[in-house]
Amino acid sequence: MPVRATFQLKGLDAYLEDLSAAGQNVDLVAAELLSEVAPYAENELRRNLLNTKQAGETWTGETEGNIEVSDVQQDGNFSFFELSIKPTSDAQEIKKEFGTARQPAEPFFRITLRGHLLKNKVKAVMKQLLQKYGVSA
Amino acid sequence: MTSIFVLTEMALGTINPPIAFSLAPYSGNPLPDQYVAHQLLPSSALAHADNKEIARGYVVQVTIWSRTGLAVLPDVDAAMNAAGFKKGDVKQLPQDEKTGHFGLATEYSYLEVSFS
Repeated sequence: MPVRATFQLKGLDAYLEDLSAAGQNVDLVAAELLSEVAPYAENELRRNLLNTKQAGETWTGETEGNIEVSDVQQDGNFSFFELSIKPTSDAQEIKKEFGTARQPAEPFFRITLRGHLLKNKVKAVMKQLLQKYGVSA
Repeated sequence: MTSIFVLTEMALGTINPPIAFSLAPYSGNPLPDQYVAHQLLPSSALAHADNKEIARGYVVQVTIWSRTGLAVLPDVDAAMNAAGFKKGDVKQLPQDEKTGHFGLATEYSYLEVSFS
C-alpha cells in the first residue's frame, strides 16, 4: 500500500470567488495554482525524507526514487494532485513513517503535509495568481 | 506544567487490565506479546500573545503491537479520551517480520493552553 494522505487548505474559496467575479475561469486558475505547488510539495517531501537520514546510514535510495506526484486532476469542483510513495520492496517507507516494533517512527510524509511551508507556498502562489489576473489580495 | 509524556503515560497507566507501555522504541527484552509504544510527533505552537506561546497542539502516536493480531486490543481510545486527548488518524502497520508483531498506529492530539 502506498503512503498517501490528504492536504487541504481552507480559506482559498474567497480568493476563487474574487477571481470568478473578475471573469476568470476558476477551474483553470486552480489548476495553475496546483501545477505550481505540486513540484514544490514533491521537493519538500524529498527534503523531509532526507532529513531523517542518520550519520553513517547507507540508503539504497529506493524510497526517495519512489516519490511520485501526479498531474493536476479534477473531479467535479474538486481540483487536486496526488503526492505519494510507491510501495518499496519491504515497505521501508511505512516503517520509517510509522516505526516498527523496535524502531521509533521517523515521520517525513505527515510533516510535509502538516508543516507551514506547504501552506505558505500555496498562499504565495495564490497571491501571485491574483496579481496576475488583476484581483487584489 | 505536566509534560505531554507524563500525560500520555498517566493515560496509558489507567488501562485495565494493565498493558506494558513505554516511549518508543520499546526497549524491553524479550518483547511482550502485546505492548504499547508512544511517541511525540512534531507539534506546533498554535498561538502567541505578548511574544509568549499560549497554545500548542501536541500530536502523539500511540502504537499497539500485538503478536496475536489486532482483533482484541486494549481500550487505548477510552484511556486517552478520558485524559483529554482527541483521536485522529489510524493506520494498520505491516507485520514486523523480525518480532512477529502486528501494529496499529493511532494519533491523538492534545491542546495545551497556558495563560500566565
